[in-house]
Amino acid sequence: MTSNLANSMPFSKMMGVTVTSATPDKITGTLKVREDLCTTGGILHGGAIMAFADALGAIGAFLTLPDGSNGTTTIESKTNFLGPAPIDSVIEAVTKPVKTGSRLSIWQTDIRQASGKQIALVTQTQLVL
Amino acid sequence: MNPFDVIKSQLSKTVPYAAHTGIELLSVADGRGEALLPSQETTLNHIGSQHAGALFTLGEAASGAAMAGGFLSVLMTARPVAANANIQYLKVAKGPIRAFSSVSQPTSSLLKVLEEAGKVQFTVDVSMRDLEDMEVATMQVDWHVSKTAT
Repeated sequence: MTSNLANSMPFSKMMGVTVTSATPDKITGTLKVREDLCTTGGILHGGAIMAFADALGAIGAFLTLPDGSNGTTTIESKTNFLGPAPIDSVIEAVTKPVKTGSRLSIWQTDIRQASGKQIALVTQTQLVL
Repeated sequence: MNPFDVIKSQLSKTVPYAAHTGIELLSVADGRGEALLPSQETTLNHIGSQHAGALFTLGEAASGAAMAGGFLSVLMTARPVAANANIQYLKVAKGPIRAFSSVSQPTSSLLKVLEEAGKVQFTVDVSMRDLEDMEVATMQVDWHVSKTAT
């Protein structure tokens, strides 16, 4: 069921985002650093890093939508790039809510290598539609 | 082919993710860049508009073009890193989206700092617009450029 959450977004499906668990309090996922997701030097492109986080944050926002809402969309996002993600590695992300409300929710995603080295910290704001 | 076109061609060839997402660099100039995210099914989100991540990638590509154009004269001996990026989504982005980027300070003064201090930090501002010229997103990318050992 969890993998289908990522596949509902064509862009996430194309990237190969895998959602490994999803609850309103925590979403986890993995991403294989394929060659076509890289920038020069064989490291994961910054856009792919942010898109990975955005997919997981959006799932969290979806799982915490108030009754009667029509969905959610990202309205703001901040990415701190903290280290490289080398080609052929599998990186891991943990997304947790900072705050969920009736109009907005805020999510923070910590992306790391399997060794624990930090790759990026992404904070996004989701609008309730 | 002028030096800016050479950079545009090189960036287009050596960034696999840009090709993967279909993003095209349209122009590279001194401290300015322009890139295009075409209308395509693969970069859509669950509501049928351009995915937030695809727009972020478009903005980052345009910011990189402006950075590379501004530092063209020292690009072979410099290490540019995008340290932080902020993006604001203003309207639902449908259809092809163009990104226009510009370095926030005169590149001549940034090059002088790089020469004297060995490193320099600056922001590239990006405006993303749809076919009706409506601004759908804005972005700020903080670049750190340092000299490499020669």
